[in-house]
Amino acid sequence: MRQASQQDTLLEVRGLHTYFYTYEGIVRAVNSVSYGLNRGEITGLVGESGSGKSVTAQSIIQLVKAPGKIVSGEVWLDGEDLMSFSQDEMQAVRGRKISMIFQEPRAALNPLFTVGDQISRVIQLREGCTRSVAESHAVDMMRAVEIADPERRASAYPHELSGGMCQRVMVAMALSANPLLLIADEPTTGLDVTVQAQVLDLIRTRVRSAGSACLFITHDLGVVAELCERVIVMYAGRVVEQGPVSEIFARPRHPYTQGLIASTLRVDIDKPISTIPGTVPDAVHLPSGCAFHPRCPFAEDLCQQEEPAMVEAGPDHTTRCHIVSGRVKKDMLEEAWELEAA
Amino acid sequence: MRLLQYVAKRLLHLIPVLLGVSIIIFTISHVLPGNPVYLFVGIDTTPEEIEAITKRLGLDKPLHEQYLIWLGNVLRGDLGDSWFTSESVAQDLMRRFPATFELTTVALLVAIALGVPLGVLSAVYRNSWIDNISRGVTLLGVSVPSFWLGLLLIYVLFFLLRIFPPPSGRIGLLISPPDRITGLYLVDSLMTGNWKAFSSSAQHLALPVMTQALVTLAPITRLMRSSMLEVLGSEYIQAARANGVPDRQIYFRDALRNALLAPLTFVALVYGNLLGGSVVIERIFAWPGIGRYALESIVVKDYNAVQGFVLLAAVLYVTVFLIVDILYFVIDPRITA
Repeated sequence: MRQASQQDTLLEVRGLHTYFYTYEGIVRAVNSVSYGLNRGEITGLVGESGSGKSVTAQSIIQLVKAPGKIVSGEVWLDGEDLMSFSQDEMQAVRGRKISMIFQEPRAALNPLFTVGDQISRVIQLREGCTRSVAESHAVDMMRAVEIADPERRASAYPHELSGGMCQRVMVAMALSANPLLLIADEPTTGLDVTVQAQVLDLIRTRVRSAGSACLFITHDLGVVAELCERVIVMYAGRVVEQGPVSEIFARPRHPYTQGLIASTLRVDIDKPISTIPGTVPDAVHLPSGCAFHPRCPFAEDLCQQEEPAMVEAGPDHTTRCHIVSGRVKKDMLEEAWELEAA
Repeated sequence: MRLLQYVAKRLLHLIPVLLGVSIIIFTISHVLPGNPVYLFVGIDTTPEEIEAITKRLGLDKPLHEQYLIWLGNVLRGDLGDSWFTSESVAQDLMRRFPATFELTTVALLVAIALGVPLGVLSAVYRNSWIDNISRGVTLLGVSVPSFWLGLLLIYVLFFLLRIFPPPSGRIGLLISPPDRITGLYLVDSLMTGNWKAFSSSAQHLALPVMTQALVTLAPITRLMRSSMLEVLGSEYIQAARANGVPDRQIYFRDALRNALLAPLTFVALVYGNLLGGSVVIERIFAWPGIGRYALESIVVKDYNAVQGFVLLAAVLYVTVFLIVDILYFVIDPRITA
């Protein structure tokens, strides 16, 4: 039994490139992304819509929808390179070593089958057990995710259950595998706040106790602060900053991360909410140099010309910024965001 | 129990529908210009004789009275007599309907049996050679008119190659039809063990079925393909994949059932339509079905026959939709009674 420690990496993604070949041009949805996930930890993956968060997750399980294609990169799970796996081998990884929870729980369940049927089918496929064993296991899993009266609910169809209940079903299905890696793609976006807290709690408890790793995709920094140990910030297909949650929230170094944090509502400090000006750039025609420079209040000529490399920004904390690397001599003032807000 | 309740409810809904249909049918065929009485008279008929005929046919009464009389008769299963064939319209229709039913049903089954798998395959292997072939076949099917296709098939497969018999109806001219049980030659000849009649009627069915099936298959394939593509792109299919479900199961268990929902309505629409007789195909192949009967009745302004035919077509249409609604109810748990 391996000890779950800070440095015990379960999943390592190296130089992942996933492009979409569209009529307008090539969309570099995931562009040279590298990160690691540790056992027993929940890592938040944050960024605006279109920053490449979900495609990163789909790339890990190799289910990128056409016209998307994984161009290059390595994905190491527990010492095995998933990119070298055949289709069949990959299928054996999905739903066993890696499970996934989706954003829209009701849409992620097949409308024509009962939820008990859907959970037990996945169990049966995996375990090769009999139908009735799988069914009773499914009911156990539903009980484990705190679905009241699971025997009765098992024979309900997705449309007969609430969104929160459907998400519990998805969680039950994902966790029934005892996966090494749980990928949760904005699992609480469509849920009420109270249900959201319950689902998050469920995920946290299960991940911690099983010693698995979790990649938690969200655009809600509040959830990240609450739930995660580490955070990866993506912008326009690139990782712009990553590190421990405590470090990043205390000392965000990339202007984009600073902007994201400044734009979250805080009740403890009396200051106006700021926004990051502009929008996520057009994915086909990314800005030159640092993709964030058109929206960055600190941008200089170099930022427009040259793409910054990943540099150390603190303990276990890296970022892509010319100012942090010292190539642009400039102070980043927190007040800059407040000026934008005013 | 839930199903019975649903069926009962749907059946009750049919009453106002059919009543409305009967009013429309009756009104339309009676406000059309032209006087059917003149079909019964010669050049030297006197006005008195014309009046007598008008009276005999009940055409002198007010329209609403004529309707009520007609409706009362219809409810007793009496569609009146055809003025042209001088036989009971109900009998005329019942004698011809099996021919239409047999042709239409076999053609539809062929179209479904080919169209559904073809549509599924072209969605699963999108833009592959099989998708391209299916695109070609369906393009042909939707753009070629059935009368031309029918004539072409007759020319090539009968006249040139002599593979199939000439378009002379349901069975060879020198072969006596099987004893009537259902009126469907294939079924009757099988039931009576009359192999000669079976083989002849199967051969006679081949060309009209091919014509009808190709025309019907095209839209079924296209609909099936787009419906399947939509389902395959849906979140729950992605989720099933992420849960390690093998492709084969994804296609045939998770996706197919969902993808069948949309084309089902279309199939009902087509079937309901075709059961009313496909005038063109029945004419080309000298098929003694109700489509041809309707055409002939319209030409001679045979009120009773036309009314009877349209009423039968409406009942068939409504019945097909009732069956499809019940199918939906069984397949899709989201539909409630």
